[in-house]
Amino acid sequence: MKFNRWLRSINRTSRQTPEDRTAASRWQAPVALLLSGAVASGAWAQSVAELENDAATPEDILTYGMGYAQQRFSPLEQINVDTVSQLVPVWSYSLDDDRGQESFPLIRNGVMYTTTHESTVALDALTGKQIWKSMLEYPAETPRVACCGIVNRGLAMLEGKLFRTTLDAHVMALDAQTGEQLWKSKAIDFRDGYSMTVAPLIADGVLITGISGGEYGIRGFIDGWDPDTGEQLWRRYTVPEPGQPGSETWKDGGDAWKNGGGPAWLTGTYDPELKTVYWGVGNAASWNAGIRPGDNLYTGSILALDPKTGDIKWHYQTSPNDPFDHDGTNEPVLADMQIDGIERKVLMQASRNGFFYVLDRTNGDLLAANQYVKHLNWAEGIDLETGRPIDTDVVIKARAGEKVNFTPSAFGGKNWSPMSFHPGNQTVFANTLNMGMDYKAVEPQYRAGVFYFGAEFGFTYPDDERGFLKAINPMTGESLWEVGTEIPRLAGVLSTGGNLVFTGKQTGEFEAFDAATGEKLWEFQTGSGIVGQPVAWELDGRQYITILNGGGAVYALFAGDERLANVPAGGAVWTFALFGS
Amino acid sequence: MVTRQMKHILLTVCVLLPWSGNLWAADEGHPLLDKGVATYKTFCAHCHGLNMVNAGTSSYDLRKWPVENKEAFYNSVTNGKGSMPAWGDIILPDELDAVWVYVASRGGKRALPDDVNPLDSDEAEIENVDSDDEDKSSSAEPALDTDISTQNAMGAQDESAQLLAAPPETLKAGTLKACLQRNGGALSGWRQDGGIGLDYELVRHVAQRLKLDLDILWFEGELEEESDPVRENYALLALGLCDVVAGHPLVAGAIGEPPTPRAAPPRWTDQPFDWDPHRHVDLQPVAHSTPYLRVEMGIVYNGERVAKMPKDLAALGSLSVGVEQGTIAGLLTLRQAPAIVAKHGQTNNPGPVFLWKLEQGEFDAALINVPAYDFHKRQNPITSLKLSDYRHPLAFNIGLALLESATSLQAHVNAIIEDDLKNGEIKALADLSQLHYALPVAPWVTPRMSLQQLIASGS
Repeated sequence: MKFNRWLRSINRTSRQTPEDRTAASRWQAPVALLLSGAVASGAWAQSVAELENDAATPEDILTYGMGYAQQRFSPLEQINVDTVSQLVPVWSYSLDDDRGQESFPLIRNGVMYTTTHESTVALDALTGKQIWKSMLEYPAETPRVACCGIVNRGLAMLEGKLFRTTLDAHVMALDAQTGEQLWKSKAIDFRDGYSMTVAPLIADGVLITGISGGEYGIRGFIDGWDPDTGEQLWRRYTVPEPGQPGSETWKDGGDAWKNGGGPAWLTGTYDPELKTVYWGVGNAASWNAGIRPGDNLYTGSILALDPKTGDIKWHYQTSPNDPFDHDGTNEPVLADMQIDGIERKVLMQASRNGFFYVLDRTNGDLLAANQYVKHLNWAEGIDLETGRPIDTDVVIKARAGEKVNFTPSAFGGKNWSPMSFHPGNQTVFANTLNMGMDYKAVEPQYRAGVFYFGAEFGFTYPDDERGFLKAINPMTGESLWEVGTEIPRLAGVLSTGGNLVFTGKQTGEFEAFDAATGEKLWEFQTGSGIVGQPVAWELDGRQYITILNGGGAVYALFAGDERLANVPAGGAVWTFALFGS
Repeated sequence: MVTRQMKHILLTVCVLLPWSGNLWAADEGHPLLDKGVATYKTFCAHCHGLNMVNAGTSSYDLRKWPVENKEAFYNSVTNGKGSMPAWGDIILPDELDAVWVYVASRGGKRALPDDVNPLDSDEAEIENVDSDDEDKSSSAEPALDTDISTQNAMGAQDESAQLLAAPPETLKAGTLKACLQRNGGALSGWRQDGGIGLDYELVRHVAQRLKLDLDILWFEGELEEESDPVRENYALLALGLCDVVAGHPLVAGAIGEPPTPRAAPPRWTDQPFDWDPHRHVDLQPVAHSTPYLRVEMGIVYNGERVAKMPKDLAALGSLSVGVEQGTIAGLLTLRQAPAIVAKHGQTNNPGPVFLWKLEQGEFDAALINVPAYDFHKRQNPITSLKLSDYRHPLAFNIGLALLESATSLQAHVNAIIEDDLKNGEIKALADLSQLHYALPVAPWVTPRMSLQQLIASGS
């Protein structure tokens, strides 16, 4: 059976009906058995070079974010503003799981790979039929340390291996043909509040992962692993110990650094030319900033790392001494941009703190930092000279232990849901949030494996919508258009050469918008909330769009929005194409 | 230095306070509730939602947990169930008790059934043996010195007679719809088989005498700072959810023209799932029935620690005193008791935890509204707390709120209440609810007071 399934996966390039392929696989099985070694090596000669070129090859998706730059832009234009009305589902595959589905699907040679928190699956990309499903087990206590949803965000791939992380803080490799486990390495003991949901990154041949647990008093880190063996090559702590560079920014004189936070729970980006990995670092712990005076490096920062060693090339801190869980972990999207007539290699981040940052990624210099959310009261702005926020009373009082209401809330101006950059019109499309938070710092009590907030808090909601899909000018933060929703969108965003923007709602609708105007051109009700990451791909001349649905995760769990009560849980993979094409 | 503006705010707050949840707080509080809130946030909120509010689709909606099923709750938390992880190795026994109180009381919004109270422990019983009897003998019942007939708020007698000649007009013919607070402390509480408290008994009695079916809508009095009980009552009536709202404070500002043009109703049982909690409705003028109860303030003291009943506020000078923060009782304690109380008194948040602290000996006595004591005693039948004979002269009447336009219903309801005040029927209902009862005193509606007047009241 295994070879039948595998054969189907390597036969993808020929034009066959599903019936043909089923028949072919049946009679070819014995042949395949004989040839398997040779064919397999040919099929999997997928290399670092292919990864680097991923964004330019729409027939496959080999890296998280559709290219190392994570622009989530596809040049495909068969599905466009004129044809999108004919977009229909071609298959749906049940993930048999009622957790929130945030995974990014990878595609190679007509096989789609994706994950849930407890499974990895390979599907026939044209039919949605399961080729293999590999379950994984983690201790039943593990969800205790998952602050914001029992999720997994996807895979990395290299030379016939798939790599993923597990909720109980392990990193593992699977055989892409069979789903069999090749190795599994423990990053750290989950019982101390650590977990992993991140999709790994392969950069310069090194497998890189980041840890979660910012709300559990962890000391965060980013790891480099040998993809062949699972051996740990390096560990870069995001909070330095006394004596190390950056430790001077922990001025409490005590042990705050030991539980200082700094998770690194979203996948970084990679510039192969500069041989540099860019990775966001999350909030300092506890949230009570008053008890950890100083800037608290490298929490709330963007790090530029050498992938071979994990050495820090430069850092930029978005939220020094942050009391508000304004994680710096959001994805650092890479692009080449004309700024004042000069071609710059930039890095863009829509920070949780409500400012949109554009940095020169060669050196970390700040080029622009502008508010991109409606309401923001913790800072007057960002000083372009120093790169530091200009604090308002709100943050000053919060650090002093007074009760405040701050915006954007701890969910951020944008949460994890990844944005898209359209290189053609140099516009970012992002699902932004519009909420505030009542907040008061309190003395935290550390206990391993339970919340270490150090704050009392509750969400507050504005009179207008709680979320906006926005088209943002990265240099000014201004919205070219915006589409609000009562229940905010928390899905990823995709833009395409067809001038479309795809995203989804927590109420189940998968949607397409005109990239130029924000006009909604199409939607399809998928039957459960969408918090996944849309992708576009092409096979045999036909363009497809794939999204995972399955409501849940941070907003659904934490915000207690009862308007979601009639949106059933239950994840699936949905793939769409133009009718009849 | 008090600016005019501040005075205005203080005044408004003060006049409304006696009725707000703060003063005789709600069923909300069990002594373990605060700890339950904290434990819930630490262990549960990230899957079950802040304040247990959860769409219920990808994790269990704990507000639906069957409260009679305590054992299963302890088992699920300790050992896990389905996708729920086990916490047995990490949650401490007292934290588990506390989180049960939080969940079983629906976040403090309703009383725990007695058999699910984790505090029915040996410890509590041994400490508090037979402290029960004395307070009955010491309970005070101020005499009624007001002639009720002179207080007929309806004005002209013949108009009233005319209205009484026809059957009462209600929202639904043949039915009296009443809004009751499900966490209304000693005055009202939801029960599986009906309700408890004087408000509940009263509306049952009134419906029965009017030969109407009774349909009760239970709403939740939130104790959040933003919620304003007066506006919420106005909104319940304006929405046509009920004919009467029980437990309405007869104070200036809570009667007549709406305090604001629009307001949102509180959360109520059987609220449509898609009800937007922020939906505001246009308010209408509100009238009141003849009051059926007067809420007084008295001195509660720990009988184990204080031998002699404190006869007045001056007697607090020699005791360790607790001060309710932000209530009129607290304010009067600070301003009217001997100065040493203001200096050394222990300020605490109001609510049931306040009296539990008194129970536990954190302080020895406090001025507090009497229903709060009654509620404490109902929740903790074995108690060392006693109520002194002393009553502060400042008190407030409680009646039913109804729309000003509901003149027919008002006439009928008033006739019944006035009748039953005279014949002792309402006192009997209060006894049934184990309330220290005081008859309403004129004027029915307490006029606005300045802060100075308030501080000077009764001294």
